[in-house]
Amino acid sequence: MPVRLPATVSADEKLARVICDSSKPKKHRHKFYYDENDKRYVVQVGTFIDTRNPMELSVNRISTLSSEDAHGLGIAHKNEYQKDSTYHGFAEVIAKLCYDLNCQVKKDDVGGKKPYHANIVYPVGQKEDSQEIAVQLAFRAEFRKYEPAS
Amino acid sequence: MPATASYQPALSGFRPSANTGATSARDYWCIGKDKIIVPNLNGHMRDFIGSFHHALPEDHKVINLESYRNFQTESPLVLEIYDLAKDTSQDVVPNSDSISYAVKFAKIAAETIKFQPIIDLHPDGEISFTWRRAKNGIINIAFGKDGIATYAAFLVDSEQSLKSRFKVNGSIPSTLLHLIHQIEKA
Repeated sequence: MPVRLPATVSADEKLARVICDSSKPKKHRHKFYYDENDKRYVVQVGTFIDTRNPMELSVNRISTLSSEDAHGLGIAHKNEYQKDSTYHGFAEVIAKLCYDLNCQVKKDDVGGKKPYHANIVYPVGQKEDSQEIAVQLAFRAEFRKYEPAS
Repeated sequence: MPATASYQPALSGFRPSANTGATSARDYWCIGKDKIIVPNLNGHMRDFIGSFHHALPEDHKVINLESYRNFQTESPLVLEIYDLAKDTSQDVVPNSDSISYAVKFAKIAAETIKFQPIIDLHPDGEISFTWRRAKNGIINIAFGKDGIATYAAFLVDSEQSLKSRFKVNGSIPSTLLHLIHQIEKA
């Protein structure tokens, strides 16, 4: 039975932005890092910046998935688009925050091939307008680190 | 090159201001007290440390420090920008003009801001700095290739969001400085 999520992304849904980068700690610091003040891993603002205008950020809708399955989607993304990088985990945000920041969250399941996929669409604007949204998403995001079973 | 020469890493923050053709701020190696080896343009010095005792690679120069009395130290932030600039493993290439403006800003900031930002590279190639404290808020500045820096901030107490842009020159806009100080306060 193929998975079909609702066409509308509800405000309480969890969205995961995949984070891939170098396997070297010093290098992946430019994507996420351990914040000594906050005592937790945090993600960089650049995680929520893209080059398209209007900006569209690829995310997965993970509310119905286990942690393992959510990371599985991240690994699949890495294998498809960033083969030479290392998958580190994902930044999790709640859709309501996107809506509060005047973004749209649109289902984009590629004709059913990627049932969990969606895009966060930013309003058209200047760089600082995108930054304004990105800083809040990065500030409130929870980084879910991928720790494969050894 | 004598086989008994002693090789030691140069001090962190030690960087020649003269044009030596070097690309890395941290990969200088001292030979004794008066000479250093400058890496080639690819900065691949660490690849052949083991062979130094026998021969110096042809694409490296040995420089007598007496000729470079105007050595100066750089702030850790500037060194980190240089490191990011030479990192070829990233999927995004940092824009060279953005790097220059980020360095210019970092040098001014070193005099007035104690709280070290985290460096980030935006997907459009712009270098950015982020100051963040969970209880105070976050600010991100990105340096455009045209010398215009854009910034956005979020302050926790007031739940206020602010954004603007400025020309990178010899000073930091007072509004921006105020925002950074609000975020860095203990």
